[in-house]
Amino acid sequence: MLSEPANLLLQDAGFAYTGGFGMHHINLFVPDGEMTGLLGPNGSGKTTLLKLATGVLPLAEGDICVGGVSLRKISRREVAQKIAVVPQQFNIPFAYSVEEVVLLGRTPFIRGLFGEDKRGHQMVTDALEVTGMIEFRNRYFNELSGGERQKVVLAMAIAQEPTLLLLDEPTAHLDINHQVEILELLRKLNREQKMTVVAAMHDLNLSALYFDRLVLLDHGSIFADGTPDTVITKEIIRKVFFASVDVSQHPRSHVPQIVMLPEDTQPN
Amino acid sequence: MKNFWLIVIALAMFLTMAAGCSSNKTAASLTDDLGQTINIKGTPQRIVSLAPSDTEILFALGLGSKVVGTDSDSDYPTAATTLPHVGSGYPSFDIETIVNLKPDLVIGFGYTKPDYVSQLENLGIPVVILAPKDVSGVISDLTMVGKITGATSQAKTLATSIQNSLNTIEAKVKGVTDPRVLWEFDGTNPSNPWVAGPGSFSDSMITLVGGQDVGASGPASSWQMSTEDIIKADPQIIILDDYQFGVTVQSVEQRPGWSAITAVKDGAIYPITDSDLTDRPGPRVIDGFQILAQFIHPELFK
Amino acid sequence: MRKHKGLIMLGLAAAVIVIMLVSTSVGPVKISIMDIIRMLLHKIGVLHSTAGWQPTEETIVFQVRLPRVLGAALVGAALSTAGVLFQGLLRNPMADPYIIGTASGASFGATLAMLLPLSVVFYGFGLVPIAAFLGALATVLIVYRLARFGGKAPIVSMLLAGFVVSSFLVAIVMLLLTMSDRLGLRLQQVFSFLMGGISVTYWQQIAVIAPLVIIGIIIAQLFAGHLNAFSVGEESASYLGINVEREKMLILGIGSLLTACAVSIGGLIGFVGLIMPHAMRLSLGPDHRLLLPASALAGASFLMLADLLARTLLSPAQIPVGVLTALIGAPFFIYLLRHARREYAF
Repeated sequence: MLSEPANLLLQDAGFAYTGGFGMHHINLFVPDGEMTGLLGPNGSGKTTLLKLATGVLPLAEGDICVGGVSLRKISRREVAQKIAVVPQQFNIPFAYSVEEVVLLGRTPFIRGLFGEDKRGHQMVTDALEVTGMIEFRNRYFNELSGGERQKVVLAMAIAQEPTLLLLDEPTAHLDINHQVEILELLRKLNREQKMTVVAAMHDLNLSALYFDRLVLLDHGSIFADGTPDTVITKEIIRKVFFASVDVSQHPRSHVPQIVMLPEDTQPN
Repeated sequence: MKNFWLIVIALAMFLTMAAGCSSNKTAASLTDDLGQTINIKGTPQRIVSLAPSDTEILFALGLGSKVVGTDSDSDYPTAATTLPHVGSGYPSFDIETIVNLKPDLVIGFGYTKPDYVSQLENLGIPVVILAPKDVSGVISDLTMVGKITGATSQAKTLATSIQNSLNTIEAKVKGVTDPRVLWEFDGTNPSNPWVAGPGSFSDSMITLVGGQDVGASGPASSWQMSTEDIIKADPQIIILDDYQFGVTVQSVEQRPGWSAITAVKDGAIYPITDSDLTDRPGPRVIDGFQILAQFIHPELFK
Repeated sequence: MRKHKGLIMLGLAAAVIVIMLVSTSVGPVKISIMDIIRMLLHKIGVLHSTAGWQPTEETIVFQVRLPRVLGAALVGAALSTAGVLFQGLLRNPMADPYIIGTASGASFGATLAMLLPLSVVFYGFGLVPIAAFLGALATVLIVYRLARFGGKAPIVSMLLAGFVVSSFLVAIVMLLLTMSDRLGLRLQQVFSFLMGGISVTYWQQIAVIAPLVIIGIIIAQLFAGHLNAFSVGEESASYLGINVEREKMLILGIGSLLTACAVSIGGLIGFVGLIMPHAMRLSLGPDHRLLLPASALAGASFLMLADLLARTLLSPAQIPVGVLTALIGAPFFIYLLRHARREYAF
């Protein structure tokens, strides 16, 4: 329920994939109502962190709490009633309608054969309206475009009535207009409904524009954590991404924006 | 156009002549049960048998000393058991073992694979297939084997003796009503047992001994008949040829729905305890007939 | 076509009853449907008037036909439900109940049973169906253990393990067939079982299988909502609060149990488990809450019909049921597909 506190706390969290990548001693606190972006190169641990936060990957060390409740102590169903996830890829081999997909978001609230979910129908309609997909409700999910599908998946997550919304690269594979649409939606959810949002992002400029706080990961640890001003700097980008960029200010909102420097524009 | 017809006529003449030539039979050249022409030069001295029935025929014709190898199922007469084995009837024989015995005649059976036959013949070993469908087939088979092996007088004696016994049986059952008989091969699936059908050896035996095979309306020589069809056919006698697989009279009586069958009500269910006699199309088949006759017409045969 | 869901469900339920009565009425001995209804009512004590039918007819109906017809219904329902479960869980439209090794396990068990000179009867089941049942379940267990790694059993691993174990078992069966005389002589019996045919002899068999199948279908229904969630992927299902590994195991277990039950009565009947779910999806949509019961009902009707044709078309010869399911099913499915092409967004 949205009236519950919705902060995310990782305390000395650690995990390692067998024979490879590991993350250790991760400490991170996202307070109620914050909109945080997770940045970092591929393989830095953004997705791993998200999976740990939802309980999909089991924590080997430390603890993760949502709203003060440790994830180790509650069932998966209870976790799903607090946290909703919008994954990067969504692929359904059957002909479900948009409404049926969004309805799946109510799964954590339906028990057994005759479980009652009185608010379910209303939540689905609300979620569709918020995401602007209400007219698509009877269309087939598989017939929609990438941007439209992403919005439906977001609606599904919203229908889950989460206090914390996690997204894994929500703007990947989308056209510019859809990227902006999704981020505007997230901002609206964050500002108007006070939903805590944590999203793994790959686009630095969009991250700077829409997120209050950025956490930069590198090789499984937190390299930088703060406002976009403090995290998106020329030196940091070079150290973590091995890329030479110029950092300038956005003309209207004054957040840092990187400017790419192809070889032929660089001073000798 | 004219050329075309000339060629057709020439071809037709050539084929007719070829066919005519091949119908010239030499003394020991006959056709076996599969319609293959047999060409045997001289009298075979080293014979290999691929089936128990063939072994019994050979020994009954006095050729036991000439048999150099048999299949592993051949168990009669006792003298045959000490002979080298060349494999088993189903599914395969060992060609090399057969060739090693240097036979000049191999006697096979209906289920011997054609591949083996052609392989042996390619190696110059003549193969004769015996696949009698009924007892007169057995008689003509052993007559033929007698011809090929030069044991014509023994064959004649044996054939006559079998024929006489048959005639006696047939005479006794002539004019008597034929009861309906069910011959069960396999009852693993009790609601759809495998029964003797048209063209099977069992079917011919039933008819000869004065019975009506209820399975004769089926599609194959061995087929599954549903309980319902059996109830409808209402056999008066049931012969169990699956006794060795554990099917007992009692288990048959207890099959659901079978209590309506006359044979069950009359207690006329007979297991065959010595199936070698009834299932083997060889010289001892006459003993099999006696057993069957006692089942089917107990009032005429004691 | 999706619009009249309620009507379709009602129609399916009615079809089961109608086909059951018709199947019980048709056979070498003609018995009218009215007589059958009277016999049933008389049996349960509702009707008391004196019987207007022959005692042999009553024997045939109750001891021979009804068990077989009920057996066919149970097999059809079980296979269809299992098909829905496997297709939904594995997210694979080509999945059928035999996909993770139940078929090869059953064949292996059946072949071994035919080798042994034992005559066992357990609640009406001979050694062959029991061995087939156990073989099917044991194989799934082995496949699952093989695929399990680090507490998880990924779908791809299971499919691969299923394929490998199946090939291995089939090879052993072939080896046994080549090596054994005794088995060779009973080859017909092996194939008869494998090609599929309803073989119910005793009511006890129904008494054992019916509760298993019914409970299995009910438990499957409990998972309907979660199966919908599985359709969007295991990870997403986990995000929706589902304990993925545990439920995967349960659903696979139920699906395998249903398949094993079907195999113990009907041998390896193909087509039903693969196509019935698709047919129902085309008519009713992919929501498992409707799909599961609809598939069970449709499967029951379909198989009773197939069995009816199998034993009457070439009477007294009996065609293997598996042959008929494919012969009827294929054109029927093509018809469905053509009429719903746009809707079937696979």
